[in-house]
Parts: sequence; structure tokens; C-alpha cells
Amino acid sequence: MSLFIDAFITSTLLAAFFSIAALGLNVVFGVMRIVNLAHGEFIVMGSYLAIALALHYNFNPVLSLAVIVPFFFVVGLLLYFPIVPRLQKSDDPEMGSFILFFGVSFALEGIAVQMFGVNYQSLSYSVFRPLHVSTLGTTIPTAWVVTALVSVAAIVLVYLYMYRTGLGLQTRALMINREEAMANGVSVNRVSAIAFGISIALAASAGAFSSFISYPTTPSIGDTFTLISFAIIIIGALGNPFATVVGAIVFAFAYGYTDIYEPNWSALVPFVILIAVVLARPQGLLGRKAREF
Amino acid sequence: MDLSLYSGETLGLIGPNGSGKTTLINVVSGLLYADGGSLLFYGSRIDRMSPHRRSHLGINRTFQIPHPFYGLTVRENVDIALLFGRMKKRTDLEQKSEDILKLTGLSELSEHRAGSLNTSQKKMLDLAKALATEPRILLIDELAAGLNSNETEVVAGLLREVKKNVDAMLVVEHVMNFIKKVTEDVVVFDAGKVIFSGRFADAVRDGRVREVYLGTVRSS
Amino acid sequence: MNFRRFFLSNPKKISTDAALLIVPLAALFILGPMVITNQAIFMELAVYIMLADALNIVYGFTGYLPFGFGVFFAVGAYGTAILITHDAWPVGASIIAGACFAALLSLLFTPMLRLSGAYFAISSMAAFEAVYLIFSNTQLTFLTGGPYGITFTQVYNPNLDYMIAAILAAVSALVVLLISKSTFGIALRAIREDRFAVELSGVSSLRYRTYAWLISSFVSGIAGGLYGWYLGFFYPEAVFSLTDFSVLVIIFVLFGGRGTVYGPVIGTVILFLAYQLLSLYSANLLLIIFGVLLVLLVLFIPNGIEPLFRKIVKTIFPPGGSD
Repeated sequence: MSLFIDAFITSTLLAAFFSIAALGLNVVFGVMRIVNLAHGEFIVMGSYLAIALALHYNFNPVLSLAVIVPFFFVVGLLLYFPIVPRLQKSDDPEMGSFILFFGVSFALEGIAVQMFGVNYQSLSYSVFRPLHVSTLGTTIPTAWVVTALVSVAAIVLVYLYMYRTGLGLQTRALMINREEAMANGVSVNRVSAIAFGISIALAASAGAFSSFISYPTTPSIGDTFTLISFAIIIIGALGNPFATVVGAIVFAFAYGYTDIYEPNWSALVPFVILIAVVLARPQGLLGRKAREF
Repeated sequence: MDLSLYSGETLGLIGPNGSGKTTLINVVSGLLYADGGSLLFYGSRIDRMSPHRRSHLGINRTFQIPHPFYGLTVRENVDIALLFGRMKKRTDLEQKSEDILKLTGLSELSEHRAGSLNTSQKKMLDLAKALATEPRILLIDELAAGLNSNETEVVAGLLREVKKNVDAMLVVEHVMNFIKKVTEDVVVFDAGKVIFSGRFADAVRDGRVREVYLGTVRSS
Repeated sequence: MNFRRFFLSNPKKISTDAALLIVPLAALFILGPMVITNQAIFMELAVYIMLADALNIVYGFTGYLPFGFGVFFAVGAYGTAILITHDAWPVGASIIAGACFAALLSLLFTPMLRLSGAYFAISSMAAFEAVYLIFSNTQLTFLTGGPYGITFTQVYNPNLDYMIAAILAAVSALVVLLISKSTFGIALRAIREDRFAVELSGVSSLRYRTYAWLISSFVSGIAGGLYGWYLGFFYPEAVFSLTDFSVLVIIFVLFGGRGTVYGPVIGTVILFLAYQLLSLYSANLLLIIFGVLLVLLVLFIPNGIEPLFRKIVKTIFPPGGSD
């Protein structure tokens, strides 16, 4: 029974982390209808920055967010302007973005190897004291709890931006109907650039904690993060940022429980769920119906 | 809404923008599935049939915004419909292809890429593709929109010619003068409902039709 | 039977194109290993040409990009290896059977073909990962060798393998040529242009996409079998590499020109040899350069370099060199 509760708590915390890891990818797809296949690489880059800040300035990852968020927001803006508007004008922006951002992820992986080498790196749990907290008869690392709290806070902030600000309103208008929004004077470039910046900043923020909760940081782990993020947003609903949370919960629980009961096959679970969802309900668990021949 | 199209008939379908004319064509040709109700073709239900099977049965259409295959030549566009459409068993493909291109006035352009055609030529190509499948019923969506009066005259003549080879034709149109030249029988739509059905001459005198349509009548 | 029913251009034109494909390839595969005395490079080149042609059939012609399409390559390699080690099948039969496994797997995945753009690309990637995790699983070590790899050096014969691979690379280019000139190929291109309008012309978009998908996976499977045979021993990661056998191939095809006959071959030859040259210096640099190249390709030359090549051929052979 305690194994079951362990899995439950772990899965809940994982769900919070995976929500923030995947949220940005869905924001970009929702607003720009493009697929950022380099998403996972930005998680990795955020992770390297957090590790560097911990090493040289003794920052804990929460503190390092003060550097990571503005830095990667600007990186997002700098990437947006030369690439995305031009891509939007091409024949098939969705497929084009797939290939283009794979190129970006290639380049980022190469840069990461150049700068940080190929060895595994991790933040130590000991950046937080006390090391562990106990609830419901199980003991979990404080770092996990902090990660989950930060994730929840980030999701709330994104929600407030989307639903309580003028720019957020324009962003939502763009997500619902691009042509109408443009006709009604939504400044597409400004709104999209900010959304892109937020997306990259979210990915990097998730990265600040990723070495605690999922995988140690290496340049090549980005692909795994990208795939997991994709699985999550497709399970939720592509293009609906807050459905990401639902996707993350389904994913985390499926993963968390198989990891405890069938560890040999747990890595397979997310992909099987993804394929099953895509075939049975391609619009995602929360999406609207779409038809295809 | 209840609408029947009889063999031998050419029915004009008019109505203001957003009244559901194109949606009707989309549902009949299979681009959209109806939310409810039933769709019958010579007595059998085809509600859930895929568009290519409807094409094989003999339902075809043109688009308001034409849909040629841009990267292929005009001839290839027509050939696909000949080779895969309802008359794929035919042996006189070349002859048929020539005939259709000639009828639609595209013979000269047959080796051009479809993407290089102008709008009215693209519309003609759309019609040529539809004809190449030898449809039994043909749905025409706003073929005359954007044409000058001279071209309108030619296209109206063409449709009367086309009618000889199909069982029935449904012509959705905004331009009243065009409808008048193609058929006498019209149905008027408003907000997805049939508000008039009868002779064209009576339609323009009908109170409700005038009410929903006045602006358009005057402008055309 | 009417010739025109299957091929829309005349046979003479097709044979000119065929010669333009085969002669340079033959020269490359015969003379290449004499100039650069490293057969393995040309073996890989042959394998990549097959993969590029296979990808072109599904991505180039129908516009559907299966990001994880390397899975068929890997399954071809494993199918061959398993039949040779466990059942002592002859190599030829094993490779063909391996390719049949790949085609069967693609048949299993056909429901994915109903998905549009991004969904299709991503689910094919997920399928790739899922199949990889199954083949490399420790619990299947008895069959696949699991994470420890699989050995079948008893049939090792690199020279024969190279010869077959070179011939089949040319054959795969011919298959693409024939498809592109056939009514089947034109239907595929029409599917890429407009998935709905093509249905009105009586083409079952789903059925023809499935055919393209089957042919593509079979050719990939053959390439995998030949590659596995050349290695004689491999770890799962050596054949299940998304980067090496999916993404690189996508880059080659894009660079050459997707949906064209010459594009995939030209793109593969140029970029693969550049890749080999660069990897002598630095593998990292390679990632960065290829990454940037991919970005620039999508933004600036989405149709690849094939149009340029076409112009050159036209200048050299003015009358009817190509269409």
C-alpha cells in the first residue's frame, strides 16, 4: 500500500514539473501554429545555466530563475525575429518549422557539447535544507517539493498573463482565429514574439530543476525532453496551453506507476499512450474534433 | 432544411452571404459531414461516404476559390480525374482529355502549370476536372463571381452545354443575371433555410426574397 | 494495356532520365573506392541513397513527413540479423524477410496516416522510440540481444554486400523515377498539393498514401538489412539512431529537392561526402554546421538545389535532356 502512495506522491510532483516543461511548447503551437522541436534543448540550456550559477555563485535554482527567466526571454525574442515571421510566409509553416527547429536543436546540442562536454551533470539535493520532508508516511526530497511549487507558480503566472492583461487577450484572440485577430488589429509580431520569449523562458526554468526530478543533464537529453513535452501536449490538446496540465497528469501517473511496478517497461509507456491517444482522439483529451481523409 | 434535386433539373441556389449555400455543397460533396439528417443519392444514403467514393458514384463540384493542383500541368490535372475518376475504365483517354480541354477553353494552356493560370482559367480548370470524372450530378459554386459580363455570357453558355451530359446540376450563384441565363428554377436560402422555391421570375417578386436579398439584387 | 494508363510521358524520355541517374552513380560506386580507399564510406553512401529515395517516395511525393521513419531501417537490420543468427537463413532471404518485417510494421502503423501534418510527424517519432525501447529491452535479450547488441559475423562478406548495395541504390533511384513518371506518382503529387480536391478526382488519398508508405518502408528495410550485414555486429543505438537514419536523410532530401527524381541522390552525394570530410575534423562542428544549414534551407531554399542542377543539365544537353 505504501508503494502505491509513494507512486501517487511522486506522480503528482512529476505532473507539476512536466506541466511547466511542456507548457511553453503548447503556447508556441497555439499562437504561431509552429512546432518548436528545439524545445528540449532549451530545457537543457536552462539546466546548464542553473548548474553554472550554483557552481560559481552558489545560487540555488529558485534564485537562479532571476537570471534564467530574463536571459532566456531575450534569447527567445532574438530567435523569433529572424526566423518566425519568415517561416510564417512559407508554403507550409507547420512542416517547415519541424525541420527548421530540428536544425536549431542540432546546433544547440553541438554548442552544448562544445561548452559543457558530454558528461552527466546534476544539481545536488543539498542546495535545499532540510534535505527531506515527510508527509503521509513517505519521505521525499525537498528539492522535489520546491520544483513542484515553482511549477505551479509559473503556470499561475502564465494564466494571469493570458486572462488578466491586454496582451494576454490579444494572445488568446490570435490562438482562436488568426485571420480575424489580424483583421481586428492584433499586432501579431509583438504578441507572438512575447509568447515565444515566454515559451523559451518557461522551458529554461523547467531546466533549472530538471536534473533533480527527471534526468541528469547532458547535451543529448534534449531530444527526450522534446518528445516527452510533445507526448504531453498531444495527450492534453495541441494548441491549448492549459490542457497541457491534463496531459502532464496523465503522463506522469502512467509513468510513475509503471516505473514502480514494471520498471523495465516504464520508458515505453509515454509513447504508447501518445500513439493510443493520437489514434483514438487526435484532437487530444480536451481538444475539439478535427477531420482528416 | 429539405432540398431535392431531380434528374434532368438545373437548380439555381441563391441567397445572401453566410446563408449556407457553400456549406450545402461541402456536405453533399463530402468535405464536411452533416451534424444530423440524411443525404440520399438515387435513393441510397451516402452521409458517411468518403469524397472519392462519392466522386465514383457521380457527385462532383467546383469551388468558389478554385482548387487545381498547382504544381501539375493543366493536362495532368485533367488526366488525374480521367484516370482515377468514374470513367477510369475508358480506353479513349487522350480523346476525352482533348475534348474536355477544348470545351473549357484550356487547350492552348494544356502544358502550362496550373499555378500560372489566372483566376477565371483556374475556375475553368476546376470545372474541367469535375467534368473529367463524368459526374451524374454537378455542383457549381460561384463560377461567375469576378468575371466580366462577356466572360459571364460564355460561361453561362458553357454550363448549358455541360448540362446535356449530366443528370442534374446545382448552381450556387451570387450574380443574379448569371443564374437567369442558366436556369429558370431557383431555390432561395436564408440562414440555412429554404425561403423560396420556384421560378426565377417569381422569386424576384417574392416579398421575403426581396427583404433578405435586396442589397444584392441592386448591386448586381 | 494502354501505356498511357501507367506512364504519362513517353518511354524515350524515361530512358534518358534513367541513363542520367545510373551512369554517374555507377561511375561513383566503381571509381569512388579507388580514389578514396575506404569502401565503408561508399557502402554508407549507397545505404543513404536508398534511404533518401525511400523518404522521397513518402515525404517528397505525398508531403507527409514521417520523422521517425528510420524505424524501418532498424527493423530491417534486426530482422536480417535475427533470421541469420537464430534460424541460419541465407543472407539474401534474410534481408528480404527483414524488409518484409519493416513493411509489415508500416502496415501496423497505417492508422497514423489518417493524421495531419504535425500529428503524423510526432506520432511516427513516438513509434520510433517505442520500437527502439522494445528491441533494446533487457527482457528480450534472448531474441534481439537487448542492449548488448547482436552478432552474425558468420556470413560477413563486405565486398559482395557493397556490390549489392551499390546496385540497389541505383535501382531505388530508378524506382523513384518510374513512380514519378507514372500515374501513381502524379496521384501522389496531387495528394501533396490538395488532399481534398484529389478525392474529388476519384483518388483515395488514404489508399495511395498507404501504398507510398509500404514501398518506402520496404526500401528502408532493405537498406537496413544490407547495412546490418556490413556491420556484422551492432548495438541497438547503431541502427536505431533518429539523428543518423531519419534526420540526416531528411536533410539530404531537402537539400537536394524533395519530390524530385534527381534531388535526393544529388543531395545525398554532396552532403554525405561533405559530412564525411567534416567529421574528420570535429563531430561537434558537424552538428552546428548541419543545424544552421537546416535552418537556412527551410528559410531560403525550400525547394533544394535540384532546380539549379536541372538548369545545368539543360545547358549541357539542350534537346530533351529532361523535362
